[in-house]
Amino acid sequence: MAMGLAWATAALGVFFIVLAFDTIGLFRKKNQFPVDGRTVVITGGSQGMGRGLGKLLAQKGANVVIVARDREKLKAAMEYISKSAQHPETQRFHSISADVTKPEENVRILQEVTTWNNGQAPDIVWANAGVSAPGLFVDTSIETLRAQMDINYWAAAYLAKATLKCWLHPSSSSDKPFTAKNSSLLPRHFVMTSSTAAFCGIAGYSPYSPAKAALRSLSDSLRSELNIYHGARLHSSSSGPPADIRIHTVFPGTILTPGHEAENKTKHPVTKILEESDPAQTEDQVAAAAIDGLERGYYLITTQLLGAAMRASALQGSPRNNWLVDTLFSWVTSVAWLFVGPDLESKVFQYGKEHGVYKS
Amino acid sequence: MGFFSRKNHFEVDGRVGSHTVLAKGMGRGLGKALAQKGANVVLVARNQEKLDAALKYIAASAKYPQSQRFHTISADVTKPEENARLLEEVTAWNDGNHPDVVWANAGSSHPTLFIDTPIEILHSQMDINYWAAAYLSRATLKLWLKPATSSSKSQESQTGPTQPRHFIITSSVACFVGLAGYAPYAPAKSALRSLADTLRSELNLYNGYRRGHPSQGPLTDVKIHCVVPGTIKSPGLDQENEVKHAVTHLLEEGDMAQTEDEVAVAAIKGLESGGYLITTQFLGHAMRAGMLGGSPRNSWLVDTLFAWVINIAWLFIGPDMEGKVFKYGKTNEVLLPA
Repeated sequence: MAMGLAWATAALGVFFIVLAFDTIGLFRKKNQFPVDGRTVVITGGSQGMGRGLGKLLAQKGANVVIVARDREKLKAAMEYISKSAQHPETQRFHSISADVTKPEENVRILQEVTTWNNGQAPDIVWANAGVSAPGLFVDTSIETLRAQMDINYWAAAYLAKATLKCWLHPSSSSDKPFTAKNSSLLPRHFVMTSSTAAFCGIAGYSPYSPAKAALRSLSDSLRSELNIYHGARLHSSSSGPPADIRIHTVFPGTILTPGHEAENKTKHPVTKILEESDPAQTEDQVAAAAIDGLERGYYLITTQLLGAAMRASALQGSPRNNWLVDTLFSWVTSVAWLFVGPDLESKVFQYGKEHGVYKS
Repeated sequence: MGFFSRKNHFEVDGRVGSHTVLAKGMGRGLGKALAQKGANVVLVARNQEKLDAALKYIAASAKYPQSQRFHTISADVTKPEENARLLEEVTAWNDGNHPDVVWANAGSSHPTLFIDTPIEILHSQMDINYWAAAYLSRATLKLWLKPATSSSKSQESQTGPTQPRHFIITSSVACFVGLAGYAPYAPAKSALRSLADTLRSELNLYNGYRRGHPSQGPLTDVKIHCVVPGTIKSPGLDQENEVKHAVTHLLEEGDMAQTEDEVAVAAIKGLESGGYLITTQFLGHAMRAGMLGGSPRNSWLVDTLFAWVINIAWLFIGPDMEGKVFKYGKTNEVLLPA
């Protein structure tokens, strides 16, 4: 028993050491997400996480295009973002007002960006637009359920389709020769913003979680599919697409933004109870964590420890970021959920028992 | 009704089950298995002829041919109002009582590569595989969660304590993994699993309320379950295989396929054991273990150990599957956008 305990402690110690080194970047390979001189498009870019991303990418030297509906907000965000430019003389910034819940608008966005970008397709496209309208399922109108799916899933699916159609054009039928200092042989990146809500079911999130879970599933399917096109590049370099395409999905937790304030207005009290000890991040913290994950070459990216734990418990076939850490973490979290799961359920049950639910 | 040595968490004898089906495949298998257990069954699909044929087939398996009742309703379950209507019809047919068990089973798979799939098909896949079940669950819960005092017909004719009502969703193992070719289908099935997890959490609110306020709460507890089959030999599978990309066939080769009866029996067995997330064959069990997340375990020990093992297995299976797809692209003709 003592021997077993000693071994278990040693193993746990090794695990934490590896985790610590990984966290401080001791095993960091070269930057897998260079953006200096490259062009990035961000939907939902006028506030919240999108705006945080825009600012950070500007600091790292990227040309940034933000997309949202409201022109006033876009203008304000553009000013804010461009102030952070690393090379104010050469970096360019643009905004596009569009309704990303319409497929044709996503096609238009890609076309406008390409034109603005001297005939080059953007290097990085980030489907970040999203809104949460939580509420109890039977109290939520069908219009709201559908609208939530539109903004949280379809917007990203349409953008993925438009972007991939653009990027997978065979390189022989292409655009002008590339003159940017970072050649387009660098991989292109398609990034989607999902949510930790995709990893677990919480009372009050039925309009939102299914859409975010669908995003994770789309990401896994597309990741598998993109291998075909990458293989095709090796098959015959003239008939393949000009560059590899990497796909990534980011899963933030609570972010303190205008969107979050709006969300809290419709949120049921029981949902707030379930979330009460969750960490909250600012738009800058979330952006920094997301881009850090991308620079490490990660696929499914979380932005704080709770998110990382939730991801570890739902890994299945998704590629690991770090095989040792992810595997050990998943073991630990699968035990943790044996306690956390029933605890969350009993909180809801208690609330119902004491407060009741009926509105109509 | 007798007492069994192992408690049956899914009593159907004498109860009314209504499920949306495609009048063939798993739905028909379920109808037959439930009829054999003594349930009154209502089948829902679009095509009346297929419904009539299925009805005959199912009624032939009735445990009590003299007293069991069977019915069909032709409806397009991708429309919210149709789901409300079908529940009204079932209630009227059932002497003013709401059905006891509702199974949102309708679904169909169109596995083609994402950039080759028209948006209309992406939409229709989400409609039949997610929205149909979301609309049905919403319409059903709006009826079941009404305060007991509001129902016009007294339910006290039931002997003994009121049994829980069950809402069941049929998802697919496609929700547990990303495979090239399933982008139209897997996200919808993933959304279903997430909806089931969320509703399971939410139903605690109503079940808790009922415990604390027995006369003002809903008439019965409500339980939700998510059945996750793998490949099923059915007319639906034949259609699916016609459009399926070669690389998807490659990734699925060696996957176990079940008949509609095998799947139905496995699903109902899982329900009778009181399971929540129910898979129907070994591959499904393994895939479920790898994606447990926060979902309630069926068996805490088995599920946890299984999860640990599966996690290691995927370190090898994952890259192997990606390698297969890559190799396919390298050695075959691939359609690129014009």
